[in-house]
Amino acid sequence: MNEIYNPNPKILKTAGKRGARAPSDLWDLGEERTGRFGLYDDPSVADSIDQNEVFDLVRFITDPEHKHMTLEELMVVSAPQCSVSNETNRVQIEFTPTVPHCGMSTVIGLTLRVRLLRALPDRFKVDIRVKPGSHQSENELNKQLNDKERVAAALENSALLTVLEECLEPAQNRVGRCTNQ
Amino acid sequence: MTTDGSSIEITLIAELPGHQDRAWAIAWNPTKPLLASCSADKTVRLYSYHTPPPSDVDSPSHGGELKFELNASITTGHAKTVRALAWSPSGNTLATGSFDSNVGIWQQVGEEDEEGAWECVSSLEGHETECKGVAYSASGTLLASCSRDKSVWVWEVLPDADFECMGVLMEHSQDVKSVAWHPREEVLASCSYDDTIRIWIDDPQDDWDCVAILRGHTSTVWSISFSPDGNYIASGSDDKTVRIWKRMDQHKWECAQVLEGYHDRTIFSVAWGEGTTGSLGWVASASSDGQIIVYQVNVTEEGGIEARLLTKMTSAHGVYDVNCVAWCPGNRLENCLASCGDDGSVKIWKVQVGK
Repeated sequence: MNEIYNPNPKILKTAGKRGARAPSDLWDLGEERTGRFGLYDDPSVADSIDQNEVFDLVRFITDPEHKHMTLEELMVVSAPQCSVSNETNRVQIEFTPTVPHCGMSTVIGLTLRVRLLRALPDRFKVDIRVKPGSHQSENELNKQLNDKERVAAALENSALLTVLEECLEPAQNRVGRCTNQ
Repeated sequence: MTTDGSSIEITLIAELPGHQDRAWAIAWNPTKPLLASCSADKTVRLYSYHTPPPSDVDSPSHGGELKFELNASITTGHAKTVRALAWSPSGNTLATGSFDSNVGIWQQVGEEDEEGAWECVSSLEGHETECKGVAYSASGTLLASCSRDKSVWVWEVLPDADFECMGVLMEHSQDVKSVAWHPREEVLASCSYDDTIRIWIDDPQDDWDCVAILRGHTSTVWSISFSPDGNYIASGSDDKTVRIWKRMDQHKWECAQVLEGYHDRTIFSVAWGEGTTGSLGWVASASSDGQIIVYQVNVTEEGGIEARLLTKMTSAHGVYDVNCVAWCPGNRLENCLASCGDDGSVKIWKVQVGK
């Protein structure tokens, strides 16, 4: 964990307003949602969602290695790489690791998983993939990130959870939806 | 459809909420009217059930249906998720497998006439990472456990809650997701994140030996279940298929059928029960797609095997994944199925001719 995998990341200049807080938003819960046993059981809450809303949830997650850079700035996630089907209740996120052998990819993938687990209504099934061709161990990574049991066990590892929470904090404390007005 | 044109349906007969987090597995006690469930909330819940007498005026209109009530909630003391559980054949002991890597052994401790509290009488340590499955052999003299550490451990069950490790089987190349014993022989099956199923026997000369590797699934195999006659194995996988494997010879198994196109997400559990139709019984499968599907299995005229869709329930646990299914072993309860899911609840279903 001490080795820096990518000392010189490419950075995206983003257009999104930072620091602006919109009025209270159903998407911004800041802490563990009351999903399964609370808020999102009400079908009248949060009807359909679109790819921009999914992107808004994840864009401000910070990179575990470059702690002041967001996944958006590092071009790890982008709106076109998020897809949603409200008919089948599926969300798919594709992310691009910063370098092809990026050892932090599992951590990044897990932050995406946790963020969506906490913020999306329970009816959505989420699939996370690395962008095809973007990583040496693409299949292994995808398999791990989509194994529910592996993910659940990883989240019971307090050391790992601490790392994830650090990356998630900027996204959770920020507005879920960016209103550029 | 059955041969007389009537349709088989799966109907909910009881819903048992209570776990504070996802419920991973259920297990029916083989000798007593008890059902156990385990959860990420680190507890095990025990439910008693009975069939109300016909004269019971409070029973619902389709009376005689099983009634369940909470018998006990065990705060296990496992440090993490309780992922798997298994009853000994005597019905007196419960084994739990946890993400904390340990196997807990539970018995009721108390005076002869009273029902004692469930206590942990032993803790089996050895796995290096999360324990994902536990299973007792048919005779009850062996207990198998499996883990993300890629190993299967076989323990000998000794008196006074003592256990001795008989073998550490390290041939899977990835996590071992589940273990299951043959209904009569000391033949053990394990299934893995490495997409294979392995069959193990205790070779008198050589310790525990892997005698067969069942390949065919194209992703993680989550669950395996032997047929009641012991000649077949059903397996469920992340590749969204159920496979039926036939025993061709003592240590030779071949894939006899692939059931695909039924589930469209990971299958987490399969269970093979006696059923009330079909010469080989019923296979149930449970999936992340929210469905519970029941297939009827028959031997064909040519001596082959044919499994076909009998009935299914969509959104069995609402929008939540179904993690486990298990057939009731009780007398005349072969059409009774338990399931549990990410909603934290346990549900009881009956498979029968529709009204």
